[in-house]
Amino acid sequence: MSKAHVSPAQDRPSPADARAETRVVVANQWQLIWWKFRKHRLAMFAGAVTIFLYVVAVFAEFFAPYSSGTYSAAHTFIPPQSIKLIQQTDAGPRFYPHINGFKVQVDQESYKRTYVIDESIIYPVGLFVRGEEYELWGVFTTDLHLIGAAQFGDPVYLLGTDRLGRDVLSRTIYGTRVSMSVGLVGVGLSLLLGVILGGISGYYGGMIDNLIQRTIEILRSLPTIPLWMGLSAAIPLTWPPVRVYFAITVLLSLIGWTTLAREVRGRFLSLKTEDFVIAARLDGVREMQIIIRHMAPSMTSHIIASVTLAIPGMILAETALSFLGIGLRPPVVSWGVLLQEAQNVRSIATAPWLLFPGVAVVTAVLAMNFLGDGLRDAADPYQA
Amino acid sequence: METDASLTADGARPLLEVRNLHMQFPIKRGLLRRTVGFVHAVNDVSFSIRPGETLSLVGESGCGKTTTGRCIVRVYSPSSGQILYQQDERESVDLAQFDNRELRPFRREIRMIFQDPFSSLNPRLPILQIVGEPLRANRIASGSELEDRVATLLRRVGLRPEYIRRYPHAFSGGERQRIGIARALALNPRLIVADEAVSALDVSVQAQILNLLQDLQEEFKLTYLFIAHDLSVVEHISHRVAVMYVGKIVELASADELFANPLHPYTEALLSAVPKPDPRLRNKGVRIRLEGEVTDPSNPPSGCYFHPRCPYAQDRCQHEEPPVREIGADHWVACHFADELELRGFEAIGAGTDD
Amino acid sequence: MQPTPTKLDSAADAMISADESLLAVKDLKTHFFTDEGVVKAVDGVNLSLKRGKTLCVVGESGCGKSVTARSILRIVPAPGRIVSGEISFQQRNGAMIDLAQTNPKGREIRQIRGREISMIFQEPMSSLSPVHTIGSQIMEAILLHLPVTRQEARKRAVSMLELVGIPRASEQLDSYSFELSGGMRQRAMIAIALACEPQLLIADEPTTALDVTTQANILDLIRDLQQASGMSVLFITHDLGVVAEIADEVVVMYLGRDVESGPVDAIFHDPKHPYTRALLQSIPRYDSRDRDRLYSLKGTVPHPFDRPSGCPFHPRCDEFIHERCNTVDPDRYAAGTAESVRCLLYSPDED
Repeated sequence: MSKAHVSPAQDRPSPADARAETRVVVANQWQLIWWKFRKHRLAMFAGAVTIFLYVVAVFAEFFAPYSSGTYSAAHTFIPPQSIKLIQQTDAGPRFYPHINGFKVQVDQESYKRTYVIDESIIYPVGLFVRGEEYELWGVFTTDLHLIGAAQFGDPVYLLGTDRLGRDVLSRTIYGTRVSMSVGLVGVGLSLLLGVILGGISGYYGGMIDNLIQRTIEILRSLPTIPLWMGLSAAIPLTWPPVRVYFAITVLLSLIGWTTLAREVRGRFLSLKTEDFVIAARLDGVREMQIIIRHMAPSMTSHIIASVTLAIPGMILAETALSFLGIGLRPPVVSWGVLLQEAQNVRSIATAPWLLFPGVAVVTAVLAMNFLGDGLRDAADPYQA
Repeated sequence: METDASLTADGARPLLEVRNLHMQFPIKRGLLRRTVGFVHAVNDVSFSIRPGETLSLVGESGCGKTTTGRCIVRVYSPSSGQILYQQDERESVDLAQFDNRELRPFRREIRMIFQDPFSSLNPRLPILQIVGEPLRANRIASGSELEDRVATLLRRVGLRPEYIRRYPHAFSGGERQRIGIARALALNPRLIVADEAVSALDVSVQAQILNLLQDLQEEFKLTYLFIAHDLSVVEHISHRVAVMYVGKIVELASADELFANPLHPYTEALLSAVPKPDPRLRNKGVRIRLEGEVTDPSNPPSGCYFHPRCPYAQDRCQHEEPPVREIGADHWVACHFADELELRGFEAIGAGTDD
Repeated sequence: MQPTPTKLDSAADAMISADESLLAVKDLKTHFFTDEGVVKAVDGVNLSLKRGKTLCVVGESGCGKSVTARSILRIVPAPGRIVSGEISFQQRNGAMIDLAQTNPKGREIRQIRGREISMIFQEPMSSLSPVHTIGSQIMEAILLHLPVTRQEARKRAVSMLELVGIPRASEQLDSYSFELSGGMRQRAMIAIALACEPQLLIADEPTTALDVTTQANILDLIRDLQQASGMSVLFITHDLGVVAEIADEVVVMYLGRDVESGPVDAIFHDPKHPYTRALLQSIPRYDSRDRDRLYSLKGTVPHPFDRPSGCPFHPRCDEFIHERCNTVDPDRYAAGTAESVRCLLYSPDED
């Protein structure tokens, strides 16, 4: 393990190695964790995806071509339109990103409307286009959108529309905000409960520990879906969407904290008998200082890893609840709410693009699971 | 300061006197964690440590030597018994009775070196913080003064003071043990409990650390309670040796006396089991091979705990527990037949038979 | 990497071809290819083991003694692999095989493992399965290699447990490893290893985790079993006392090399290499004056990434020859009673 020697080593290999060595010997735990995490390619990629999703959530108005409520009765169930980058003109091909317009054909027997692409109609598409005005975080007012119709008003729906003619892409992007933040807020609450109760349980032990542990076991033995159903049925229908949103996150964290509490308790128990904690006590360090200086830093990296692994569970739970119609309700837009609209066979058969929010759920959950795995592996850089 | 069962002898006032120390750990089972029994890890142990000496506690794993050491530094609160510490010329205090707050001044004077050089240093703190922790916690030094004092300590244990900002992972086992020693020295201690301080080290590093411990003892007039299982190390470093078996001291004598003239059959067996680093001694002398396993301390046998394995056991040993008694000058032993048995020492078993 | 030793090659060859030699390792190199760089855990080890004898490989932690043992059985964990060298082993049918050339997952080596070469480890708890009884683990080894029925295998398992001194053997056959004490577990481990009467037993620090009285019993057991069966033992240890008790021949290793090899008496009473001498002087001895300072080697074993140039021991050596030891990689030289010493002090070309 040694990278340093008491003996005056006559032959240091090369200046570069020597530099690397000095870097390692004075590296604190976060640097070591980062170096170890960096080697985990998949986790690095998953981390980038996760960051991207949160950026999208924060700047949803900018990323989405339309607002979540914009509808157009004339454009219901439009299938996804593919972007063409090259336009054939008389002067030869030129770079001109656009989508083709479409004609509506009505089947005379079934009265079923189908859209047929009409190559003669061209709607130019651009990046950083002017569109609907919005207020970003209630501070700036702007009409800049990342992507959209180059001319305001053209019917450009990259991922199609739903039964009210609302843009699926825009709604999925707005859903990112709600779904990803439900995970974050829910885990934040679980973390608070988990660290406090787990810490008490692990530190004091005895009766309190017994009580908390048995409570955790009872909570964990309850079937979650019926429990959530019962609890969310108790949320008054008259509550405004924001309050329902917070009520749901509280519900989710009510179960979520148990895992974290166990993790924290286990760490506390094993750390309490670690030699270096005993050494600190013999050094005359006060109990509070022992917890802050010696025990907590040994736990934080593990806690971050388990928090990352807990968020996907929350996202899935929110999606499941909303899908069942007992979670968030329209007009709030979350992935679960969006999927609820794709619930019946007819819409899946005629408009499979309504399932796109499901792709977003899978991406988010996989990314955060891989990220959490990588963090967990790197969380203890002192183990060989 | 009257003495009865305690193993004091000559006139020198002991620095530390342990009297009838007991340590029982509850065995808890079931949903409600009820106590179903006790592991009697330390069972009526009495001994004293004289100023400036090295007293070793030896014995096999599970004999209670580490627990005894941890009771003295008060990692554990003893179940009963006294730990009398000579505070100054006239007064001694019973550390066993103190709570954490009352112990604080004594924790500066009684220090500990741990066995595992890896787990005993917080990997998340640099050496400055680790060695400086006792100085900081007792508000003795801070800032640049702390740095100076830590650098001095590092130099004293043979480490370069430039290492002050490095983290433990940059050091080898031997170097880490030096850091642990520096931390123990930080508060000018009088007594150091060294719990298997060299057991995890390679021979060449072990020799360095043993030399360092001896140098420090001379320089700072330190007293050591040296807990070890390696008898050759113990023989080398100790003035006196106490042999423990299943929570009890079975024999205590000066190192020379104990190794040359053991009075307890267990000591004899231990000595004969030590591999001698000389192939010419192979198959010479006697070897005593103990039958069976070390007794389970939660369920010890009646009478003398050693009797199921003792080659000299008689009826009496099964029923009657032998008291610790003094046979010869300052040689204490707990065996009914200590006067009658002709036991062989280290010399007869190993060295000295080759010509 | 370094010049191949020439001085002793003829002698070594003669030994390998001699009938009594069971195992000969020549210039074995096992390296670990980690993300940080190549760790040369074993970097040119030579040893040879005669039939019915015990060879001790001794060295401090990180000297590559365990990796050497694992290389022989081809169980080096990833990312390690044998880079070069020869491991000639004489099979029961008399044929020589170079284990270094076998496929570590292939049939050849699997027929040798357990049947011809067995291994016991420092921590029996981690090498015994906790979900199978001791008996079923011995029987598995027997049934895998010997043409016997389950009945016969069971009988043989009982007699193996008796042989290694486990009391009430037929009852203990149905117990699990966690129900046994450390010493008994090591005995059970030995019973499994010896179930098929291997020609070679590799013991990797088998007594390090044990108490001294238990250690003495296990050493006696290995010695008795060896006398009864005539097997050879390759014993890996860091404890020189154990070496003196059990070895016929000794190889001292430092930083992945054999620095000195020879008969046990020569190693202890006429050590040649400065490292061997230093090791012997650093153990506390009964005959030394009490509480005298011990001889102590300066410094610590270098990190495998910055292996010193020339003789790897030179930064810690008291007899360091300036401009020679740090530039010239010593060959294996014959010197007095020692079989070979890797030190320029014994080079016929040096003065």
